[in-house]
Amino acid sequence: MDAFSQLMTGFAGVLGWKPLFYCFIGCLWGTIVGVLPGLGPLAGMVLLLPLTFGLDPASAIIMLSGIFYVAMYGGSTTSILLRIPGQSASVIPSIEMARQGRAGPALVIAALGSFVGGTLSVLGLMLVAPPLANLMIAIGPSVEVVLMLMALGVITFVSGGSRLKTAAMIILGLAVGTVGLDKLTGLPRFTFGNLGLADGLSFTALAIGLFGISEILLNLERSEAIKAIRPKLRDLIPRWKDLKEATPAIGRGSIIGFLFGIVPGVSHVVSTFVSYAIEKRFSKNPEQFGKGAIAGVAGPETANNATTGTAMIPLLALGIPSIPATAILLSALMIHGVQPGPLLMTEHPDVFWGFVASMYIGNIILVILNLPLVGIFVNLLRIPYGWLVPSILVISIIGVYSVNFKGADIWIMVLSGIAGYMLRKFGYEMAPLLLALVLGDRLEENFRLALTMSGGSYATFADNASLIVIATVAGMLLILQGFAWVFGYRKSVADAAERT
Amino acid sequence: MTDSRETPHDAAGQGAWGRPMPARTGEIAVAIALLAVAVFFISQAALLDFGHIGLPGPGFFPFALGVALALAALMILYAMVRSPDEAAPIYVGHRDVLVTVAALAGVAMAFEQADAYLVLGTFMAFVLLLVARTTWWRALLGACLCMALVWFVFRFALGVRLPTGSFWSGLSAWLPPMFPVGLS
Repeated sequence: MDAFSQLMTGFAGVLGWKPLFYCFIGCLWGTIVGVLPGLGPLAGMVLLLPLTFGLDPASAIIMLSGIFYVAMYGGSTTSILLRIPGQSASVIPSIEMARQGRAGPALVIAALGSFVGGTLSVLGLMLVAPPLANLMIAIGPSVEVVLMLMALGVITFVSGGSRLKTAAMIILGLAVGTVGLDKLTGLPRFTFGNLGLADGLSFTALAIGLFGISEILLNLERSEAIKAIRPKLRDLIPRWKDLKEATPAIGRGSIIGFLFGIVPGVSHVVSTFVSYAIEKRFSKNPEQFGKGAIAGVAGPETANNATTGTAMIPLLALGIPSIPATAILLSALMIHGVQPGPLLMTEHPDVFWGFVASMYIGNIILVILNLPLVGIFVNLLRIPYGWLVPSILVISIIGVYSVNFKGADIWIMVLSGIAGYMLRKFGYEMAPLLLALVLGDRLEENFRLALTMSGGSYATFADNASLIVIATVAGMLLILQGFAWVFGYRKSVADAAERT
Repeated sequence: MTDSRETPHDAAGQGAWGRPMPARTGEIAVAIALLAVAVFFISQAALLDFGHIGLPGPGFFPFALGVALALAALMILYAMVRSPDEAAPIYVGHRDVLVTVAALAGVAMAFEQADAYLVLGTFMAFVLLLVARTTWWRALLGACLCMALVWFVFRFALGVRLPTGSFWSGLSAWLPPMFPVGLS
């Protein structure tokens, strides 16, 4: 069956009331967490993760991915209407346009760009993932180890903060992942006779603690009075000139987002800054950038959402998450007994194609929720943060407890929340830790398996297939470094981090 | 009603009770904590079967990671000790953060012992009162409404059973039979 007919089967599965409902809930929650300052896509996904345990795998991934790509856009609503940066990826969208009283057109162009970028990236996912998965079926554990090490290496390399701290977080994540029974021998490690630790530390508790709780604690320290712009429906309509200027920028943003989406770590941040820099270079009026140029909104916003589809390619085709959001999806799928990777499309075609179809639908829901209904979501900003905090924490506590019904998991959540809060205060990133935590188990298992199969020869990690992988990733890094050299994105990322 | 966002604290987290800590001291403290974690992993992994370099046992990977973490922590420590202390101080001990952490620790302690709804309701009211700085009756009303919603979503719609602990069973034994209690 070709990709098109498979996609139609996916649509047939998704167009029932149940998947559509969960897709809508995911998009709605994504909009809410995207709009609320301080709650990003990741915290939103992590907080809702426990609620997906009662769902079938397709509905769970549809709901969680809906949160991811819609919240990626929701951050722009905040930055435009509050004239403050929301998510790090939406720092660029011209706050200046809002200052000039053109928040409405900025919102529309951002939403259209997100829709086009998101839809094209799903098309890319649909076309690239199946052949890549077929290619990867033949690979052995040694190549998988090389792939995972390269992914973690790239995260360290492209990190916006200190590389040494990022490396420390990756190692810490891998080390924490070893707690529990050893997969190959069944021997307990670091369990101290506690049977509850046999399965390792609860990923959900750690993820909610490291991302959700630490985020809330950090936000409690910030307390700015919020005054949002409330655009009327008629103010949303952009001028013809705006559309004409935005169209090529949207096209370029789609390509940039697609290409950078596959880079592990901070793909959306990188693609956003590179897109902004490219638009400035291409513009006939570069002096207008930072003063309300529409291309400065259209390009980066499109690139931001175009990464969401391609970021799924490593997860679905290789089973390796490249960004924390896909790590959450991986964890959700594994809880449901579905192993993402080369065999996903043959063993669970309903999950893969249903997910692809849902992303098309989700992108339409994104536009519907974020344009005509933007006024409703802006009202959310009137809810005092002090009221949101206990509500979010109550959901987190119940969510963490309901995974294993163990009170100890609440302790893990609280303690990892405090640790995450302190680490983040001193510039340590949580994303590499989370990715390493997810990959650690498989990395060790495949590493030892590969050595066993090769009779203890480390040369197995340098066979032809491994060398091809290394060459490909090194080539990608060289291209990325070239972009960084030309456009200085690292400086931009650091500047943005400072501003946020 | 006053809300924490309207209270002009600051962006660096000083607020009430916030104490400045020199950035370098904090960085050194975090690096030492990482080193302690690394030493823990090395010492515990050394008790496991190490295998050999060609055929690693269960202790090999954690041991290697412990060593790598220790090296990374030492490098951070070295860099921090040598760097001049010029960065702006980092504020720790923000009142709202301390209150929330204390409330969370209370929930973790009492969640399985007492009734989950009672614990979460108390937590909600406590945080609303001290962090949202609302009036006591609003905090109480908010907590009751939230618990009703939680019961509807988790117990009724999703079928999640939360622990009842010994609180309600103790209460129902004490009350006459005409007052049956027990939400969960």
